[in-house]
Amino acid sequence: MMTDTQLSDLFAEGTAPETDPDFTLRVTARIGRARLGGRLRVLALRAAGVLMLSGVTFVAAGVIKPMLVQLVDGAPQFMGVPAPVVLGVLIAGLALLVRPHLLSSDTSVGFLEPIE
Amino acid sequence: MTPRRTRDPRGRLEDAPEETVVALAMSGDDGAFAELVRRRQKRVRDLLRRLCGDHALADDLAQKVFVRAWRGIGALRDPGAFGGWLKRVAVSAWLSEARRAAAPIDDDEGALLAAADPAPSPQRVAGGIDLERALARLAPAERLCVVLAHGEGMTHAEIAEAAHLPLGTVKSHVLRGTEKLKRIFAGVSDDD
Repeated sequence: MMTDTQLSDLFAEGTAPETDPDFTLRVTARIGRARLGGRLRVLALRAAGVLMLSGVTFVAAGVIKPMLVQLVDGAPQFMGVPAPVVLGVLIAGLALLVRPHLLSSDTSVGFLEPIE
Repeated sequence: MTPRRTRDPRGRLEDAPEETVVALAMSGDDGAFAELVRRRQKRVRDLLRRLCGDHALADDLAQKVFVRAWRGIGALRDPGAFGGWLKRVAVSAWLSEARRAAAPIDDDEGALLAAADPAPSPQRVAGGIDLERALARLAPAERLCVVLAHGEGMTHAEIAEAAHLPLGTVKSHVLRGTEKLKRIFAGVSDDD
């Protein structure tokens, strides 16, 4: 009957090669595919978010259009452009400036970070 | 003119201690992770080959283990714990594969014997007896416990944690599995 030591000795050797560059390459390729898949998923999520935002904006614009028309009709003008339109464009521009920093995964970087 | 010496730590990855390489891989260094794959591939593949009994399946599973490790290495707290953690990832991957393949981790030795690969592997040990073929004759749970105890040098408590089995069950599986293995080898030796 085999002793425990003899049995343990059997486990000392394995059938896999000591070095196998092909195996490492295959793992690296799989990691590359996994990374690409992850990036595509993030991209798809962001695209879906933008599409949803566009849809909501489109519907909201249709709903508030009559109110906006009333507002613009009676409002003072700035260089021939109704003042609410100028304000709206300014606010939208500022929002677009801030939005990428708010959506960024790296929250430690950005102009909102306090300066020490 | 002598070439300028580079201060890039990746240039010395092959000679670096494992904890340094793990720490680099944890910070997202792909070269460091590739070095870990190079260093650890044999141990992970040997472990999975003993558990699967099928080299192609084991090697495919080993690749998945390293991809899982790449995904999770950032969450590892202690670089020194990498080896044990990788082993647990490998065991977990094998358990998932066994469940997926509808091979319950129980003591159904008959089903396992029917599923065992009849072809001998190229490398033979102990007077023509192939260890992997002998292991394939054990029930999956016994095989797992025996391989982790004898092949990986894990304690019963560590096996219980990795295999999600009660400690008493692990002790019993190691004892019975070891006896079965010895009987398998002794039986074939008697025939010779």
